[in-house]
Amino acid sequence: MEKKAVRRVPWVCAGLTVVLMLAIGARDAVGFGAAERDAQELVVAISGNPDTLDPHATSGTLTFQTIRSIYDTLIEVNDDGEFEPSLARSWSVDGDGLVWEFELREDVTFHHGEPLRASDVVATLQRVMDPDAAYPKADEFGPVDDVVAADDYVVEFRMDEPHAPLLAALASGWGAVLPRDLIAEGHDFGDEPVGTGPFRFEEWVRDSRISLRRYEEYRLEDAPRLEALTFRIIEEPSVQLEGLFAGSLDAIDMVLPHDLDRVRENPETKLDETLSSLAMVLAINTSREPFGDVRVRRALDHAIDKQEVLDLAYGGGHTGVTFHNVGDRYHPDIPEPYPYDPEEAQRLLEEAGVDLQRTITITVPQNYEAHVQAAQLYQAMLEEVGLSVDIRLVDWSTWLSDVYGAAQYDLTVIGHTGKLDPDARLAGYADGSFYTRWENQEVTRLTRQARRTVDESERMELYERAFRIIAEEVPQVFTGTNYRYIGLRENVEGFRMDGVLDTYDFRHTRIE
Amino acid sequence: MSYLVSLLLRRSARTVVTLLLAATAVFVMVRAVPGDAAAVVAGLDAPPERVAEIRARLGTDRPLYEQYVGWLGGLVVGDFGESLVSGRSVRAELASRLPITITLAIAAFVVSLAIALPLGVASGARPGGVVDRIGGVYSQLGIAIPSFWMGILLLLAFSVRLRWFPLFGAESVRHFVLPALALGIARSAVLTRIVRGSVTAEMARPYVAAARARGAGELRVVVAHALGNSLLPLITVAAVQLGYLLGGAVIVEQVFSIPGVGRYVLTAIYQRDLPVVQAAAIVGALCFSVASLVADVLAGITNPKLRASA
Repeated sequence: MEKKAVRRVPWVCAGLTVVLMLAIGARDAVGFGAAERDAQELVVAISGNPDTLDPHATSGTLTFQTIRSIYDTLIEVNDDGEFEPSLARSWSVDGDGLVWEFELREDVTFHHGEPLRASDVVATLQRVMDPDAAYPKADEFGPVDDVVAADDYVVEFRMDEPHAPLLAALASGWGAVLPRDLIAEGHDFGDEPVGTGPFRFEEWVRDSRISLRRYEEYRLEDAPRLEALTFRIIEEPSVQLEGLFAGSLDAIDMVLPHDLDRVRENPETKLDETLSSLAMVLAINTSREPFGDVRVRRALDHAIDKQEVLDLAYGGGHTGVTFHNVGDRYHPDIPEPYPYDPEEAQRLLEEAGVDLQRTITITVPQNYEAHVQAAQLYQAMLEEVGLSVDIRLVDWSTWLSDVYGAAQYDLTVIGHTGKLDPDARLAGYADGSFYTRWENQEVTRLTRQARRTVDESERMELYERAFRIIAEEVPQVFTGTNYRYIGLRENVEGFRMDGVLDTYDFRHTRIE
Repeated sequence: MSYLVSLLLRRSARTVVTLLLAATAVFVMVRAVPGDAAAVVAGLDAPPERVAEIRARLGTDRPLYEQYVGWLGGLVVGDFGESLVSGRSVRAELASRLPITITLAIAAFVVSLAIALPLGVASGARPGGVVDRIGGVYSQLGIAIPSFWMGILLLLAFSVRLRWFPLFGAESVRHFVLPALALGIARSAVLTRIVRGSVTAEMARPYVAAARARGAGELRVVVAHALGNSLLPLITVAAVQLGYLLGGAVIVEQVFSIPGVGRYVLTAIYQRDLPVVQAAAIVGALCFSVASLVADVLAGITNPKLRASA
């Protein structure tokens, strides 16, 4: 009797464990995929934890993608890149371009109940430009001398000099308007955001989820349609994808190129395809030999099959010619000056007397899988024209300080995030301080002039001239702009990807 | 009893010294790596003056000794500083995530013991027998398969195919089953070998032969005589394994999207969020030290020989 009991001990241990696990596993197996949630709760997978929910304290895309649903900006941008009213009903600028006037809507309230007044906008601008706080986005608003409330619903921006990019800054994520009383209290917006947006903040469980709920007093009659909006933080693209198929996720922000067809072909899911705001480049360090020679840079341009790189590494897109995202209205409509032509590339390299034995290194941030894949394609294409090429993987922070900060590289692969205004791309691009170390006085002059030009068609002309010079001088090989794919459940309607800002607009989204 | 007190005191003092050394090493190491949190916060397209301003606000431009002294001073009172990227208190962030990681580590520990003990004892009792051979293959595989890969296999089988378990998160007990298995299986492979070796060694001792000579049944010999003595070395090993589990949790948390310390640290490493990396390393060193302290004390209690030699 006793012997038998003793004999069983180890086996009972093991058995109990197995039974316990199976029991836990089987318990609500049926409920999986449709865990208790609202019929109008949208669950969106995002690929990482935002740094903060404070619109002024970061430059991280994940933050702006999340807070777009919580805060509003004075003006918005539509799918054609044109500005539209938002918190501001209308706006105007005086003849010298020195005073901008914004007239606010009078029916807007913040999530904590306070009505929106001009003084909120003033307090917000003072906060973001506070030199002591050193917010990363302080420079975006340009030479603002003063922001004043002309009356309860009129805000005036007084500028030191004309600054056309102001509108773009006000329409971007960092233009979010915060309530003055909470600013004065030193409220932690990073932890508990309070805005005027379509959803109010409920809870943020770090690395797990951010829960938002419909704001009943939102300024638009018919929006938002959803009751609740939940961001799930999931780094693994394959887990996102399976979650979408299983129905535990309604939208996912990462679909790898080789999974696109699975999402398209599955009857329960669909793919939202928007041209992103990225300018994908193979950047060239023009301060290093032999890349100071424009013939060598043109040879690189000729050596690269851009469509191939876009298709294989970035999941498809449109090829570019200059330092701007292809879909934008400022992108010049000019043919590729140095199209794919390996023989011409070889000829130019020979003409420039390039030592083909010397190894060129492509430095790539290893955390961006697509850029790493692109680097491998670039490597193969450059070797095709006779160059010897190595790839060096570095992590993001090292890339930022060594490559982007200190220009310690030959070639590198990156995508430059879009900005609403070309000035954000071109300021400093050609004065030798950018990581390409490229200098061109004409481009610098044109950029300065365009920044001070408020008339839009005049600006466009100036930028076209600048973009043309850049295209011909090739400080970077401009591969183009990729598609941004969002995987959706079939029953999700009215989802809008704001391609220019690279954020999501869930105001008219609903679950059928 | 006085023996235990002196053991505790001596080992605690050693733990403090270990932690101080670890703190210094970590401080130096995270600064030897290139990369700059201010550049991460500023992002692409920020002018260099802005990056310098952010560096000044974060204090990463201060002399190293100043940063070191300030940080050690904070450590003494349990203040790990603030995250450079989010501006939040590192202690609060760790405090909200540690329970999740510890739950995972303990669950994995239970899994590994539940497998290793019966399998190791059965293998060691009859070396070369069927169970021993199965156990051998099992430990080979368990050691060879990394826990993150095991995690992916489990996820594919039980979450994607069978849909028995959720794909991500940590909201219920069910969320912890697969990660605990993934981590526990890898550890149990090592433990099985140790238990087996220990039992085999005890089985060869004269007292076992004596017990057999007295006519005790084989199972009684194994369980009542050999097992107790073979558990001694296991205690130390098991405690250290608990430390390894915390390390393994970093990757497994990533696979199963569990909001624990591991994912927090991984992101912090990429972002060069130095206070977070430092704090995590210190907490890790603390867990390790405490685990081995507990192991020493347990060994001291259970082993009369150690007590005599003290």
